[in-house]
Amino acid sequence: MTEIILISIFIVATIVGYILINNVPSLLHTPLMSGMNALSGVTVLGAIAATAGAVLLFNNGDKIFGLIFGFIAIALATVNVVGGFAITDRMLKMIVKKKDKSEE
Amino acid sequence: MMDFKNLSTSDIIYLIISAVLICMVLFGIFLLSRVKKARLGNGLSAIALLAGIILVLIHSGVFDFNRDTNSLILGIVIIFLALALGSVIGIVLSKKVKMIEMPQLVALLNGLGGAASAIVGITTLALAGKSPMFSSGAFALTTAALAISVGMITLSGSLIAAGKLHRILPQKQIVLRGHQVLTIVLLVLTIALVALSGILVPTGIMSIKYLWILLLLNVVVSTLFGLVFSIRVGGADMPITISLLNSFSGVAGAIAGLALYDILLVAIGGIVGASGLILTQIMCKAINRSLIDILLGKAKKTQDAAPALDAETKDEESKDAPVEQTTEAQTTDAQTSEEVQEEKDEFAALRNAKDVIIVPGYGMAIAQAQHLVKELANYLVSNGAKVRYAIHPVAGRMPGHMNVLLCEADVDYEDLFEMSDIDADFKTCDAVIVVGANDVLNPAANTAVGTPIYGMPVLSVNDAKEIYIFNYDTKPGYAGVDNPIYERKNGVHIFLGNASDTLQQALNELKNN
Repeated sequence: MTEIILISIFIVATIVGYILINNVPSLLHTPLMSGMNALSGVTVLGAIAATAGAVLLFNNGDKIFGLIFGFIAIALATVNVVGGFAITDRMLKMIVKKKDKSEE
Repeated sequence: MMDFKNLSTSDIIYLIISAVLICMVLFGIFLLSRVKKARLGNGLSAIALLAGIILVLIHSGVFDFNRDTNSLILGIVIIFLALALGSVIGIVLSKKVKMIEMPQLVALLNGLGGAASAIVGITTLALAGKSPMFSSGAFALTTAALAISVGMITLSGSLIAAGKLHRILPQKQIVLRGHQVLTIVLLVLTIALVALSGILVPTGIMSIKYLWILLLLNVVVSTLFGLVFSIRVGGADMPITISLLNSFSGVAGAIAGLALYDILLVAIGGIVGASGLILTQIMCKAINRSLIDILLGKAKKTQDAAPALDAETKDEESKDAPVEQTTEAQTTDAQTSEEVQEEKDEFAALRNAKDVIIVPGYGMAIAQAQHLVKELANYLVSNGAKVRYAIHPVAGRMPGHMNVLLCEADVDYEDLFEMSDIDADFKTCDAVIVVGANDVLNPAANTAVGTPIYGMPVLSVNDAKEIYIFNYDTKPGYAGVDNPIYERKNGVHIFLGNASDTLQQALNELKNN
């Protein structure tokens, strides 16, 4: 049952996302992609949960394994989240600012 | 693992907040479709993800001080160190990257996202069954194995793509002997390993102790598959490859979310997957090729090279030595003959033009000529002309790349037009200025049956009365098909060489006379 709900959520999110993203103008496709880079870093949530689980529930080998792999996964995903959002903002600022100037 | 039939209060709160955050991300994406609200949308998504991180920290019990304090402190230190390290690297990357390098940055980030999801899959699989948090059911084992496969394919494929885009690796497609067979064998092996991971243990055929063997094999085979499929993609099909890998990085996250029973990961991963899919479809349509053909490295008929794309690849290759001897001679020849014929009248059409369309290609970006293009446009505007830019969907190395490069050079985004919105105006405009673009305006695409670009939608530049072409040379572009515009007798003015130089010369002449 839980599994079916999860898969349904995946399908619904994909369809809703598809409909919304289809309206993004091609002007913004590069920022869209870097924004999606940032969102793909959502794995950081899974990495944190898995690391916390490993460190709180296990001992010795499993704990160290969880810590090492967790550290790498969290760091990599965070690069995506932070880098992705920052670069997207930098590009969007660059694209939109011209308009603001001319309106002033 | 969260069982939806038997939820604790904290689980319910977690699910409700997750749902709110998913809606926030979706709303953020909705705002991206309105240019002026796009920054707000991006900020909203960022806040949602930050809130998600805080939520998961609390929910996973890292701040639950009733537990064993030593483990707790160790966990907090490791998690926050990793978050800090990742943030610093992310900020440095985002500040340092040049706009022309965006394709390789996006490719690299695709890879990192895939890697993170693969590692989460590895952890989940390795610790499966050892605590209720890591389920050893068929569903969790299969999805964890699949997260490893998709994640590793994304990682190795993206690193190759980034290497090609950054010119660390050769741009050409590399075809091994029996490439197609190898690709299919690796794909089948990957699928088999994922299926076995989900079947053998739950059915009792294999002890969970030996699951790591399947895990290791899976990592190796899927990494190889990513390598084999991406080395085959030529430089010109890169926009499609990055878009596809963008999609994969999201799907990998969603699958890792399935393995961990986390709805936030599942939903947001799905959204990213959808985005990459849309862009992949747009790019495929823009060069009139099916995705399967590109993945299998199939080229149309006689041609070896993968078709498509705008810019002169030669232009790229000779970046370090901008003007080669032979081409230099060629250039002068072409220019003198041109000058003899037309003398000073050459720019007359441009001087009197009231409606000008500029067609930029990747050659402009390579020559770093976007600022000169803007300067030329400024001059024309001061002359009373309306200047617009026609952007072909593949006029760059990734979707939307050309728009970003022009906006960086202070071009107003409202002057940038998609192909479908401006194509009809080529007939009526007074002059067209082509800078570093070839294949995307090659009329042979409409007529030359059997060539790689046949059927690819191109800009109808040939309909224009006066065309000014600032290209590196008149050799066929990446697609290897001659462009008949160069042979046209009337109204075509060709200036060969590095666009930075030729544009500067043209600008000087325009201003001095």
